[in-house]
Amino acid sequence: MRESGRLEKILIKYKLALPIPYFTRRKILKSKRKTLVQIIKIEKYDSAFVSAAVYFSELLNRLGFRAGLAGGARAFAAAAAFSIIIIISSYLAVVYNYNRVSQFIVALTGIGVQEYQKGFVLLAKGDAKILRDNKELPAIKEKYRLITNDEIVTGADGTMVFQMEKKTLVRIMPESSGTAEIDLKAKSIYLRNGTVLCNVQDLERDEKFSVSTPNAVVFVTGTQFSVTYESERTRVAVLKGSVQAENLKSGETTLVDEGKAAVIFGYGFEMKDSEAAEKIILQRFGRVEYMEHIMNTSEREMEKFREAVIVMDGESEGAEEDIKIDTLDDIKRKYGRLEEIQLYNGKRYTGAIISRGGIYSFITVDGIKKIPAKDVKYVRIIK
Amino acid sequence: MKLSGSLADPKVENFNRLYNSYYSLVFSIVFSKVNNYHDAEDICQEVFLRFYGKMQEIENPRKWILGCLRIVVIDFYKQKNRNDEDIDSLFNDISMGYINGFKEARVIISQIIEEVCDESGEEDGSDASIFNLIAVYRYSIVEAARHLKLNYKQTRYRYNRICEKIMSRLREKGIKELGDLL
Repeated sequence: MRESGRLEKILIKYKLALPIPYFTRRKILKSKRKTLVQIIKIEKYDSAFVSAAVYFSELLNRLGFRAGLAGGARAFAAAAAFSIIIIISSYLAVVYNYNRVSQFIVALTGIGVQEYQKGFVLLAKGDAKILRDNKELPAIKEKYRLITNDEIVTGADGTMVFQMEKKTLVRIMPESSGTAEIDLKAKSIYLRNGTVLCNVQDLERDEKFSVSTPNAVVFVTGTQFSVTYESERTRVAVLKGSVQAENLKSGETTLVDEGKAAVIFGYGFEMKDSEAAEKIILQRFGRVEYMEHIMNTSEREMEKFREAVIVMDGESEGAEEDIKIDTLDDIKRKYGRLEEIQLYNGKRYTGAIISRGGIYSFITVDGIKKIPAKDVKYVRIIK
Repeated sequence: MKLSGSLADPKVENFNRLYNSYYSLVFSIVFSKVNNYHDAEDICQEVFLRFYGKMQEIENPRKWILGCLRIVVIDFYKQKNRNDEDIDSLFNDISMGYINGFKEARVIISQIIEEVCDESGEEDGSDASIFNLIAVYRYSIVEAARHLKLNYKQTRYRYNRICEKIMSRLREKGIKELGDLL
């Protein structure tokens, strides 16, 4: 037996050992810290500062460094400065999306890597803005980080392309006043008005992406489609895959297959073929590639992306005009219907609507007419 | 930084070092006598406040603190209107009590421990504190190390060293067979 063991036995036998209960032993440490602060602060030190110095000195000692109160105070000052830098940088990163700051924080702390990589603006053109807590964020640009509940508003000449997790690309269409509230966690978009194009590429088997409008919800598991909401009607057009659309008023659901479109209004659905222009626009949008490591994407690559979207828009506009129309029969044959559009100023056109939003694109035998939605009194289908 | 610079004042640093060495020991002594955590805390605070005020005049901190402790306890309980006899009974040396006829052995052991602790040589007195916390107040080595802001190996080494000193002193006092005591 070691000498210490023998001596301990002797002390116990002769009742010279006076055990202190375990919980009291633990409380003594707290009392020690508190009393030290009480005493040192008599010298007119700030008691919070002394408390922090004592705490950090203990922490350093526990980590194996010999540190007195001054060492603890210095460690506290360093930790405080570091925390302030992190808080300010985080604030800047969240509010102004200063990408380098964000990268620095992620690299430094590893905090929020997953959250951080969820939603990013790829392109903002014309009158396009983001509202966060009902306040407009300044100077939206590429790689701007989106967070849940951000509201995206585009004007008549505005468009925005952004990507979300699971290789999901979304475009708020030009020539529409689209408002989308994005929920990155639930992978959903709420569309108040206008048109969105979606390209959902990489959902897990049990995952769903949804676009909601005031009167419908569209669920997808991986597809290319567009959703338009205006005048209390939701139109879903599918290019690839299929989507499930639910009429929120009746609770009815329907499957919209490839090449088809559904109009949801009142308590029901109307199934149609997708319009040629819708298909072309979705095909063009399908060429936009998801950016896996967006924060590491160079300015040059982003510039290429911008140019590609601008070219795509030009092609899409051209595509509408490429459709040769001589008679109303041509229109009916190509678009599967004839519509009559009545304006408030008394003008009336016959043809087919090829895109909706803030401005209607309407094909007639005289060519494409672009009419602001607010000027349209009603649209009637001619049988 | 001005504040951290002020905490580097030699008086504060020296106090902090001695405070770390003695606080848990003093608290344990008081608690084992008064058996009240809050009273023990108040008494300790008063002892170390007085120590801080007079630190520069004190040659042997350990003796001064233990001496002061008695005075502070008496003052503390007088303020609480406690009976004088009760207060004195708190400081009856435990080794002098007649327990199971071991009086002589208890006196010898206590004296030797006290001598060795006094001689332990470490300027900050933490050897004495290590021994008392572990052997008398039954802290584990890890706990003692944490209370005294030492590392585990250091604490274990110093504890074994002081135990060996006490045991060899017991042998010097004529207790040839330690088994006799057991």
